[in-house]
Amino acid sequence: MRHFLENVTGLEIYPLISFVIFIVFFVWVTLRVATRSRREVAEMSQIPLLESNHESKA
Amino acid sequence: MNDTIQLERQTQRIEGIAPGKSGVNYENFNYDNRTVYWFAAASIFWGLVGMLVGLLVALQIFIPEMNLGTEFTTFGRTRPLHTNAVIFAFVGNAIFAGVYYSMQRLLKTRMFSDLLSKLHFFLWQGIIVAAAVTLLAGITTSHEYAELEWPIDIAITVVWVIFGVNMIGTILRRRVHHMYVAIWFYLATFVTVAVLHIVNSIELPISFLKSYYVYSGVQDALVQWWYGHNAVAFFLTTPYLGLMYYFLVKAANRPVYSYRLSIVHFWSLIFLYIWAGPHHLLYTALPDWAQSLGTVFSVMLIAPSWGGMINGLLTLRGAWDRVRQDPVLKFFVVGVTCYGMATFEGPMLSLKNVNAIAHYTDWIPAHVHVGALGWNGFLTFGIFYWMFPRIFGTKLYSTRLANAHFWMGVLGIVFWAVPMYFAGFTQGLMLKEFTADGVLRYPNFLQTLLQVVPMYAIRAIGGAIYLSGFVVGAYNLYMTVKSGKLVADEADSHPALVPDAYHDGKYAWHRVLERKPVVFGLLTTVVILIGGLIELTPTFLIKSNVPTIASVKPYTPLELEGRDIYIGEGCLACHSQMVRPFRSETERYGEYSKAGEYVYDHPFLWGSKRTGPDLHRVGGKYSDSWHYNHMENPVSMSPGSIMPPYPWLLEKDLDVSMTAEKIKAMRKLGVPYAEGYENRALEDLNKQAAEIQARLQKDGIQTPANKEIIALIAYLQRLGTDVKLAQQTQN
Ligand code: HEC
Repeated sequence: MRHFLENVTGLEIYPLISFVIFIVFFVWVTLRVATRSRREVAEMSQIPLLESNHESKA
Repeated sequence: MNDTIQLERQTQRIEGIAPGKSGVNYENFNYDNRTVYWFAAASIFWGLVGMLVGLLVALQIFIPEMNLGTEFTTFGRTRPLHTNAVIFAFVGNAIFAGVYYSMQRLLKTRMFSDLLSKLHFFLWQGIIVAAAVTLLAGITTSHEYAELEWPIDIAITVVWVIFGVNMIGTILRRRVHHMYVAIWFYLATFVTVAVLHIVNSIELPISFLKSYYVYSGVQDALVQWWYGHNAVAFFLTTPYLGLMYYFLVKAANRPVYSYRLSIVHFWSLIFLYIWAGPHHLLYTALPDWAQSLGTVFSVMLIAPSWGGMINGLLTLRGAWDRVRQDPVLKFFVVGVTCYGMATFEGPMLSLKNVNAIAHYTDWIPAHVHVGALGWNGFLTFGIFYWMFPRIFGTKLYSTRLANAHFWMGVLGIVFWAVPMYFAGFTQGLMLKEFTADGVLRYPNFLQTLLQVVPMYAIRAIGGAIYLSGFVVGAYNLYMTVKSGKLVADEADSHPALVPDAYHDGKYAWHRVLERKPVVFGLLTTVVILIGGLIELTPTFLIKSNVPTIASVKPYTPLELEGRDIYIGEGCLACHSQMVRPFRSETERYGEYSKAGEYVYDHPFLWGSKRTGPDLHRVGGKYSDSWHYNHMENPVSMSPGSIMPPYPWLLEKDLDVSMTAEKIKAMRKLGVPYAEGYENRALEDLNKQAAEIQARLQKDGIQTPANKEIIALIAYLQRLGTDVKLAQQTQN
């Protein structure tokens, strides 16, 4: 029985690990995104609207 | 700086043309619109079928006669048919139509292989037909939204690989450097659905159309809801967000509100979603830490979900005047709003105290249908209204009909969802209500159910309105198709991709990734695997997660056969087998359920909705003859019951040809049947059947011992008794 309880407390580490991984990942992505140039971002967002010569207009 | 030059440079950069090179060579190519059209037409066809079945199911739930008196048309089988049809046939085909259309244009290339596109289309429709036939025949694994048996699972895997190869091949052949955000959503969908499908399909086949999951009990439940939740995430959400980022932008004719937000929201969404599965199992026998994990990540999910909604809605800022006139935009606005509502509600439902009331009630179908009818349905309709005129080189047949469809859809959703919220709330509270003396105010489950039956009727009306709107829409699109001609191969031209054209030294991290779809796919896999592994592994590795209970014994052969009848008839569509640790439940049903009681349950049968009472402690509650009469005609024992009658169980002979195989398979999966027991199994089976036959005879019921009902009674009488009996002997 004691063995069982030990394991159960040990498990609380899992949510913690997950949380830390997420925060690190999130901060990384956000920083990367935030440091991109305004122009570059604007260009990428235009991709679906680039009309080639034949494509039917909206 | 000269504006023209700047514009030219910008175009060059986006399109991947080497700067400064003049006289660029344009390459000519065609977009494949035929496959797009086929998928769209299939989506409409199956959507109408699936929703018609939905309407039938909605009627069956409160009018037992609507079960039409056959096993093939009874609720337990029609309900999975409905869910599978709308998810995988209606939404699935719509995803493929939208992905094939947008991907070619975003990457300025034809799909990688026409042959693969064709195979993809025809095999997918084949799977849908096979699904419909097997589900109605009662061939099912019982895992919700993964009911299909192993040969079909393999076929799905093949189609998925075909889709993946076709998609990645197209990306590799693109003429545009950058992979637009919609494509990431498509790739994430591909990768994750592949992982989910494989993990949740690990079954041990015992015959061509029968298998058992290798997982049991708590583990099986965790895997199933890890899958189930992420099927919502990666089949109903991510592909549609991808479609939103293309079609909404096209229809509004303005770029997405914030591209940066779309990146952050993409990664957070796929990261967080994969963890949230356990919120389907709060207060169950699942270990506490896993439940908490599910709650925390579910609450966090609200941020990326709303990021997507806000990005979608704000894209329309300044175009609101057009929203009022353009049915396409109207569908999009309401669709995205429904997404926001459903993704706000989801995290709320993951809070334990809300979940305690809402779980197992009609609140959950209401939540699901705001998402399904509002988000998936309305986005699909908007996309089709926008796309059909374009691929048929014509105009939409009637804007007025499209508007009519829109309003019928809105009305349908309201009439569907509002009564179900009301029903869920009412019944959820009634079931928990105690009198001043501390006894249950409504001890009879049926009492609480009959209270909400009128709501079921209104819900069916809501469904009928929504479906009628869809019929109007289908007619409108059909007339549009008739008035034009399919532009099967739509010509376009674009300069070839010049490798490394982007030379101003700014290889931002993400751009590198986007240029390498394979790397991108791998990173996505890693992200979702982190979540999956951390969540699933402990439950599998640490034995103490499922404390064993000495009194829990494997099922007898007859009970095992009865259990398979329970699975085949789809009883778990209405009945849970999971008494939660609330006084309101232990008073009503008995001792709450322990993880250790399910160790031999391949698969687990906890259920997700209580249209009927929980059955985990039903063993020994009634006599055999009560069950016999109740199954033949429920109202004879429970006046006013809306449970479907199952008279054929009294007629049909029990098929014992596979019993020995089943015992062997179970032993392989770790159920401790003695070596060689399969040879004596039938003997035991017949003995137990004869005992039940004798007990029935005492109550004046004459029946041969080899009928299916005998096995089912054996199973029902066994349910939950391991713990009950152990307690009795202790006392
Ligand atoms: C459409 C939903 C529905 C389906 C499907 C369904 N049931 Fe029921 N069941 C009910 C309802 C409602 C009740 C409560 C009223 C009653 O006793 O009939 C009930 C009651 C029961 C009870 C009595 C429980 C108790 O504690 O009083 C048993 C046993 C039962 N069902 C078994 C089954 C089995 C076995 C199947 C599959 C062959 C099945 N049910 C399929 C709705 C359903």
